[in-house]
Amino acid sequence: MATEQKNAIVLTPTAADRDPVKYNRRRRTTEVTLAIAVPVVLLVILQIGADQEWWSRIFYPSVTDVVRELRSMFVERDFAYDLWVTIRRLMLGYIFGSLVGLLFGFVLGLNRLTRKALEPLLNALYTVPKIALLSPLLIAFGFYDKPIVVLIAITVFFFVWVPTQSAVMSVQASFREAATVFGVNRWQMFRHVMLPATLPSIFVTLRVAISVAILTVIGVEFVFAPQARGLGYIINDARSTLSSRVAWAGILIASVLGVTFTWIVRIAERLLLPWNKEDQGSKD
Amino acid sequence: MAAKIVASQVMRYFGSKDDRVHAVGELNLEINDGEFVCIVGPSGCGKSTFLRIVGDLIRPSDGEVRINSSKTRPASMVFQDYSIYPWKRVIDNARFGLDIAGVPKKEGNERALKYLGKLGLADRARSYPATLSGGMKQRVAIARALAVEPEILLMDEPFAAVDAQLREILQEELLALWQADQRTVLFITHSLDEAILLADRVLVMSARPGRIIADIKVPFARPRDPSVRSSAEFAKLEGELRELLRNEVNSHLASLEAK
Repeated sequence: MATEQKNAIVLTPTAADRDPVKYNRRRRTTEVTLAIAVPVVLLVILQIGADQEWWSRIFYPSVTDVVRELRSMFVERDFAYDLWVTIRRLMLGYIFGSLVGLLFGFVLGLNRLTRKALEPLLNALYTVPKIALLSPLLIAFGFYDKPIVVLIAITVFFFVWVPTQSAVMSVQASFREAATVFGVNRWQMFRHVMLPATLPSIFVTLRVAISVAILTVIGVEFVFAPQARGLGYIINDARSTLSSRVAWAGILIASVLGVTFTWIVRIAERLLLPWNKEDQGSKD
Repeated sequence: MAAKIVASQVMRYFGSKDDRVHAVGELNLEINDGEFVCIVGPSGCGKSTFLRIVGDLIRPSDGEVRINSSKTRPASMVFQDYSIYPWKRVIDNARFGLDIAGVPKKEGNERALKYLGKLGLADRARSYPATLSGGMKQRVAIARALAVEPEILLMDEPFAAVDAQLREILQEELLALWQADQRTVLFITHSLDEAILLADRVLVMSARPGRIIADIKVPFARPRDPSVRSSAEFAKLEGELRELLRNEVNSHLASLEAK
């Protein structure tokens, strides 16, 4: 804080400088409190608003309404099956799509010839709206799980291939040169240098891809016939039958899915990338 | 003394026809087995490029470099920006060259630990590089290069990114290490006093395109005592080299202006 006194600027300690430990502790408490309080307050306002009918309780049910509906969906309407069906499609599509995406990312990133050969074709396919592939896929694979899984896999593939290839191609030249001087063969270069160098950004890509996969599976289930079942079907069906509580319950579950799977990817990252941790000990 | 590295009529260009940069050439030099040679020269003169040719990272555009050795990869390199791997612990970084060569892990660990010890880093073997200072990272890079016990050590301004006091310490450590096995060393530096302290011979390179304009034998005895830095002879030699380089840089600038 500076005070001006007749041509003098005096620079004195701020509260943060005087007692950094106390200041930081106080700041951290505030931040944690806010992180919890904001969603809680929002939910409380939603609950009261619905109870007091500040808005139509039919279209915007309260928290308790939604939770109650959720329980009834599980008990009376076999919602667990829909959820299971969606998760199964999600997992299969995501795993296949990202594995192939990683494969292409690495092969095209490392091998100039294959890249020049395949990139134009893949770029052309990238921009095809995947919904357009629905009919040919149905004809090719029949009903219902296979075309949905393939659609998710294709969508995830593109989302994983592009950033992976880019990450592979931007590995520091000096990392590669240091290995070349020791006479590494291709496998050694991949295992010791290219793979670990790109893993941090690959995990970011995988986190984005799981969100994309969830959006895709729900969207696709919107479009499919009721016999396909699934979370997307439940949400969409609720819209058309004006059961807003079911719709909101479905949306809540979709959000829970997103948070859960993203968290799983983060855990995997923390296990596989121990060098990225903050708490490694003091610098010299 | 047997010749270890012989460069004959080496030329190196970069880029294509109209945009072509003549980086190095014509370069002719000979480095003998067990010699410590420093190359000094103005920025951009092609010293690093030449080093990378010797390390087989790039090939000459013309001429040849002959390395007299029975091994396929007789040289080890230390880079200016350390280039140690953040995803490997210090011990794994130091052992890297040995892993690549197929040395069993147990033996590899022993050798890596030995060199880390010589560089004062044995207690940080299990740390990750993110927790090390710049000077420590550079020592890991040196340990990595030495652990394979190479016939030739190539060093590209390895102490450039390190502070002055640490730099002196590392120079002395390198002298001691070299004295033990006396490998062939090709060391690139901007610093004249560093070159004279460390080398048996100092090669002065011209401004781009780089050619050798002076080949000076350093008169001080081996083992080299760091106190030679303060001797009159040292200052005189440094003065001569500085003059040589200054003339080179001035005439190069003049020729650029004339264009």
